[in-house]
Amino acid sequence: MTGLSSDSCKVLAGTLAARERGIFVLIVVVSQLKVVNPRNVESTGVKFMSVEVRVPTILRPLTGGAKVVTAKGETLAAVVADLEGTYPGIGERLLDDSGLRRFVNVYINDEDVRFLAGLQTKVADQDSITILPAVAGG
Amino acid sequence: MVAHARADHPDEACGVISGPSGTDRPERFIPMRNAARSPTFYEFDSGDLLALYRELDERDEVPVVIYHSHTATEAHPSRTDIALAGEPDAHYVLISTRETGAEDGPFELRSFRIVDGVVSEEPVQIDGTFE
Repeated sequence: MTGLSSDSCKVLAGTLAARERGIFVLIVVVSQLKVVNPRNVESTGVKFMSVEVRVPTILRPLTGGAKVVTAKGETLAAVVADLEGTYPGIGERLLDDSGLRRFVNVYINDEDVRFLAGLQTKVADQDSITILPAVAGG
Repeated sequence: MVAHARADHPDEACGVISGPSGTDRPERFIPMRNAARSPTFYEFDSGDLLALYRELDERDEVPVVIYHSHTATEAHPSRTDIALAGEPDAHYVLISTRETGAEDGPFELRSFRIVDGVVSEEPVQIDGTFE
């Protein structure tokens, strides 16, 4: 629909029966609306970082069973702190004194944060964070 | 699983058998690389792990079985296995190749649940495949 000029729309609409024409016009109007995601922009115009976090089975008791939650923060460390505020106890499962736990894998979009900047990795609005326990043993 | 364990002996072999979420049916055999390439340790490669879980999610599957081999010790979870077990709903299958190595012959294969550091063995019954 987006490839149609308004003239070609008129021509097409003219070939349709009147009853169908109303539906056709409605479809054109809907397809040309610009979708504004209200999560991107606050009234002040300042962006706030909202990310989706995928939670592994073993941590879902802490998120009320939720598999996907949202959190805020400009770095992974801030996102983890935000998660801890909402779901107390989750921070300790992800971090130890030295930082991210060795056998917890965290990915931002497709990248393991260990290959980025670890907890200091910048997070962009709408990023997807995935937490997975390592599958490992002796 | 046994063939994979023998093929990778003396290093530990590892993988999963996935199945539809909520069914507890191990249906799809997915051997994984042991990124540690070690006779005493296994770990799924981090990139492979993400790809695996994405694929499972897309198919609405879960890792019903997580298996690995022990190449010099019994087919029982080690302390490390217990400490690192991260899938409370999975059946952890251990295969030992200590008797026969890469060769055919008798093998040990046992299955366990590992939840919050507590190990419980469960019987293994081979019913054939689901295909």
